[in-house]
Amino acid sequence: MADKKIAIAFDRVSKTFPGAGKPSVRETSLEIEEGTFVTILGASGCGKTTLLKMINRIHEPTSGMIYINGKPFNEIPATQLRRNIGYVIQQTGLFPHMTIEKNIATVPKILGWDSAAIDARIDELLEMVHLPRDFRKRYPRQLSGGQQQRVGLARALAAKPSIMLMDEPFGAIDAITRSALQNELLQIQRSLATTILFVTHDIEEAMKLGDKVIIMNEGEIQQFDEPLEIIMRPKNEFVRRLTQSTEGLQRLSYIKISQAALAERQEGSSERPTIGQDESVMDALQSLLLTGAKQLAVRDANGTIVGALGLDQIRPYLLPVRNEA
Amino acid sequence: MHLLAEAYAYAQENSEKVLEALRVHLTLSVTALLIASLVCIPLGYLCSRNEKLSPFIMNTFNTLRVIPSLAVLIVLLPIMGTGIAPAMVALTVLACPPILINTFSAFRSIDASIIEAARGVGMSAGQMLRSIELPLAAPLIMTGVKTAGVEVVASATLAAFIGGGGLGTFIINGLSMYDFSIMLVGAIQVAVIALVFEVFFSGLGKMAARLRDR
Repeated sequence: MADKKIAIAFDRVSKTFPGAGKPSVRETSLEIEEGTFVTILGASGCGKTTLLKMINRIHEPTSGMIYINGKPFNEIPATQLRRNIGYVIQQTGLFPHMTIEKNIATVPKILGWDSAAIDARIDELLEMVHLPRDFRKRYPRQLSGGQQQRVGLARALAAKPSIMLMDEPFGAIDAITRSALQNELLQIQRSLATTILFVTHDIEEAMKLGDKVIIMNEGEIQQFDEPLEIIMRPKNEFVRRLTQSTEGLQRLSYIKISQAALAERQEGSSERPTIGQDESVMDALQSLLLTGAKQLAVRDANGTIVGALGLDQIRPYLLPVRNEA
Repeated sequence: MHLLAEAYAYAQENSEKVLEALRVHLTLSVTALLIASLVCIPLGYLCSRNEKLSPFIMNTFNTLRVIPSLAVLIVLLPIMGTGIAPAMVALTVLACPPILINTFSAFRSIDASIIEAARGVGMSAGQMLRSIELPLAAPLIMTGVKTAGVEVVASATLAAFIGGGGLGTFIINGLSMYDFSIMLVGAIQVAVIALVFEVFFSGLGKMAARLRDR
């Protein structure tokens, strides 16, 4: 991990909107490694969206410096910078007078790709976001909310950006579709190794998607850590209350199996029920209770069994947690 | 029917005069509409993007809208004298408010998230205007031009009062000679042109909307 490049760095960045008494983001420093999926979690008005939108200069910082792939953000013209950063917003922001293919082709066209390359890329992207090819000639309003956001995702990915910014992209989508979209986004992120910053106010979403989670409150980062660390070793009272606000069992749904300490694989266990490692420990517990099995076999994304999970492995996560500080 | 026949006969006898009046009427209307569009569409766009500029300009034009066109003509008389020039100025002033107000609200009504997305994908201001804002605003702008067009065609009749010519000449002449058939020659043509404008710009607006919403 130590030799990984830094994709985005904040150096004492503050932002105060004109006419606002308090800064939205206060003296924030932060380093995000290339290829990491980072979720930013907080209540509305905590500065999470402002933090995100300073990266592509939708908002300009009042003070401090942001580095994108090592370069000071203001050395690159804003339009050029944005063309290399994917951007997905909650309201999708699809252009209503353009077909799906034209929407997706927006950035490659601006960048001057030739039309054959754009055409091939559109097919590739539609497949990536699981939309049929005959959607190319449709218009955004003919699509459901979930389908529209898939197009939004495809448009953001079109020019193969190394960084993606996502502002509550699944916030307005029903729970079932949201869960499917989350899984697909995880898959896409793993295969492309894109650095993603993803703003959400849904703690479960933040914990499920993020390799690392930024917790914000009142314009300041409260903790920037892996999900398991945040849950088991909250840095302060705010983080502790946020993650423990409900009963202890709830915590299990924030912990991904891939982060949990698994038992060694045991022999003669081929008939054990299996579970994917992107699922939560809560899902595992449910599966254990439903099947009556002593252990579950844990699969990785390729279907290989990487370990086993039983009640003994779940128990530690239910013990009371105290502040680190 | 008798009156209509008389009007027809009058128009045939004076076909040269009628054609000249029609030409002046159309020139006046179209030129005024064109100037107003060229000034007010960009101005409306600027107002929609500039919080400081917009209240002043929008209020000014909203006030202008209240003043009757005849009053504008009469006010211009001592300043510009008689003839086609003051008529042109008055008609242009008359055409401005609907175009400006519609352009302003057309650009204002574009969803903020669409603008943000366009900025976010790295479009320059020019690219945004050309490929996003103008196409989305066009139908409502055309509605403004249509309203202005119909108003201008009707009001160009008044140009005759200050010696500007046009189809109003027949209406004034007919009134003074108490000859309804002469009045009809002017009135029918004005009505027909107004209808043609209405249909033409409605068509343009619908075409723009279809391009936008297809």
